[in-house]
Amino acid sequence: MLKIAWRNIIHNPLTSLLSAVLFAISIVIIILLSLVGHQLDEKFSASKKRVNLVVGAPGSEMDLILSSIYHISPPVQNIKIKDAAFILADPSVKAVPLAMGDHWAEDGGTSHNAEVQRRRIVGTDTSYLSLYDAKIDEGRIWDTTMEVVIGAEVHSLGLDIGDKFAGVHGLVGGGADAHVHEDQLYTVVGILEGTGTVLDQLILCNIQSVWAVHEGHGHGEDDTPVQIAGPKYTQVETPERSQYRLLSAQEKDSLHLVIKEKASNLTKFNDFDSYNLKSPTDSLDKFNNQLLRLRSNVKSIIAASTLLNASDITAISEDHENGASISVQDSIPMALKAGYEEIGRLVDLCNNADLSPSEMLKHAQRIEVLTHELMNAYKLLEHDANMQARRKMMEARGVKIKRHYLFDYMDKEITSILVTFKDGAGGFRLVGRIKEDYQNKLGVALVDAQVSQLFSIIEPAVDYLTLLAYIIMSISGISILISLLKSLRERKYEMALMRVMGATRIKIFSLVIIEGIILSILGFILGFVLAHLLGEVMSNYLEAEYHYKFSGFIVLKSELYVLLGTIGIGIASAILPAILAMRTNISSTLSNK
Amino acid sequence: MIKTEGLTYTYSGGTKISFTDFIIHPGEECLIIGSSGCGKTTLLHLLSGLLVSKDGVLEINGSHYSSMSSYKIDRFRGKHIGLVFQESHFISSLTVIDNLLLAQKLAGIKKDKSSAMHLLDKLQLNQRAYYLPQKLSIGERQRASIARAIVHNPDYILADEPTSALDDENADRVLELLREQAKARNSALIIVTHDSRLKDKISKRIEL
Repeated sequence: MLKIAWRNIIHNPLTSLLSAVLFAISIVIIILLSLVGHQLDEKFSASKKRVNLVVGAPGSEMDLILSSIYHISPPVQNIKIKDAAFILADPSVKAVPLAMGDHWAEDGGTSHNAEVQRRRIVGTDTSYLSLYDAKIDEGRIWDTTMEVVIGAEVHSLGLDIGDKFAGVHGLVGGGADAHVHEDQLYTVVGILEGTGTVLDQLILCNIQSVWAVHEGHGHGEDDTPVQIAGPKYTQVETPERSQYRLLSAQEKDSLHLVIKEKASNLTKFNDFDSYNLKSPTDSLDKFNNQLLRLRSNVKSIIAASTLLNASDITAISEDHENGASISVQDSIPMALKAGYEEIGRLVDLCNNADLSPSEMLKHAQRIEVLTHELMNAYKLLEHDANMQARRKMMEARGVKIKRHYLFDYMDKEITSILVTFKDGAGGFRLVGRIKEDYQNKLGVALVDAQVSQLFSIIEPAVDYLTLLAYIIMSISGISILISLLKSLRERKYEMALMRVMGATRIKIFSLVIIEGIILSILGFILGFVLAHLLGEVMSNYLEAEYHYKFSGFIVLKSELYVLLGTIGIGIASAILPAILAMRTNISSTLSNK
Repeated sequence: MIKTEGLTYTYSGGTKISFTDFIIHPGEECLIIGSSGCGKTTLLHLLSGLLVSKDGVLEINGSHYSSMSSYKIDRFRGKHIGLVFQESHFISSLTVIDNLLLAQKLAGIKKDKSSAMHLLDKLQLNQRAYYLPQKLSIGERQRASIARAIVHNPDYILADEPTSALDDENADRVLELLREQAKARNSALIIVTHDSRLKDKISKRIEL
């Protein structure tokens, strides 16, 4: 049957080819979309790895993701380390700092030519390599400033171990006006194994290298953010810190318990929210009681927070030889004190002075505002208390908490921080803190949400193209139907002859169905080959555009489903002609001849 | 053996036709002769199971088409009957030898290429075995059509007007070929024709 079906198809090559080509067009679109979509998704997913957040300068969240995870667009601004220190110190997250500003160009940065290969130089530390499970393929990791490790793809562009090169200022372009840092040359000391991620496209060094290149250069008017050297941060010893140092370990623990207890009192502030301040005279007693509780709480908090701040600082700096460290929230105790004093003054006024209801209301509203400010300040302290408790817990488990090396450079700048949550709750607290308290200094982008948004931009186009492919596939199904009907009309005597020779109705039915299947499979094979060839051609374009390695010569599991769908359409298209062929009246067909 | 008793057939328009009773034994030659429109081809189609009549008796090798399923009739016809038409029919996408092998396969016997080639050799078509049927001359097509009808050694060779369109010389040649091949296979040869030239050449005649 297969042989006869095949012979019948090649006996009418033009009709068969038309059906197969129509089928092939739809197959090409479907497979090509799958290939590109799958590889984009794979590359984008691989490159975002386990990163949950990108913290950088305030601005577009999408820009943060594209610039710091995928290294496609340039970042807008830098951030100060002292503003982001609480992220680097947060034990509930893993933070990978990145500093960018320059790139390597294969022509040394002398031309604007878009064909010239350019790759980013990224200052970071080994945590960036761990994020991608990257290993050194050849050479070694950087030991000192101006040593770089290159990604596998960069190596394939010609850079090799021992090569020296100057960074070209900025992340794109070049040409006569490009600033090339010729006085500071990078040396390649290692090559990374291919990871299939963005890492393959980068040149990595320590952050100090990026700063070193830009020290002494005035780049202030450039679009690309660069680091301007600043004085080294120095610690001022406060009476609170001295007081904290004198405490025994047990006393420190007790103090932390007090702070935790105060954190639980936060709900009492919420009670205050429900108080009806529009009628103060009617509820003066209740109001006064509330204020008394408030005064008591605020007083405790101020007392505890002063020590908390000191304890936090000291814990961080304990194993640091210079004893220098940071104040996580130096300004909070002052704000709490000022707020508390003003509330006290207003409460005294309300209790002692002969005030009109409107004056009373005015003071009450001010008290409410102050209370909310205190609550916000308290939330920050609570966060610090949690961090402190976490540190204690980790220390109890034998995990040594290291002070982050970037705390030695508090006034310097980096471009962004890739943040991975160690626990979800801690991570989201961090997001809340950044958005509430650092909105003018830091921007934060949730990676998954932004990547989903990115894909949602291209999804409608993909959907329309897929719909088009299915329409073409339906047309090709109709084409097969017409082709078979035409062929059967021409071969009705042959069908009758087969019946005369002993072919059963089922055999005739099967023969036509097999012809439909063969036509559709021919279309699939043609489409499959074309799609993968086109995919390979497109991969060169995508590679040039996004610096990711794409391939047209990979076969996806989904293509098996496309094949099955193709066969299904072939069968569906052949059913009507098969039934007609099966029902042919042999006697009258032969008699009519 | 083929045996008919009171066999009639009613066309879809209601016209009814009755046939003479007859018996044809294996290896026998029989001429069914009559003018155009008398029902010769209908009788041939009834004998080959292409048409089935519920009226009267048609017994062939002890079986009755009227009590067989369509599937069984197809299988029976493929195995026991070989049909030769006035105009030769083939599967046009298959070569001559492939047409013969297909006939063997549909008859339910093992494909035997050497016997098929031997037959083509006897019919002087061995040089045309791998030609497509439409590439053959009319005479070659007629011989190839006979080869296709007998390659599976059927019990009955039914020929519908095999000589009507041929000149005397070619008509004699085709008749001789059919008789020779039927005899070689001990097959009954039943020729349905209005060609009066055959009247005197086959002794057993059924006139309609």
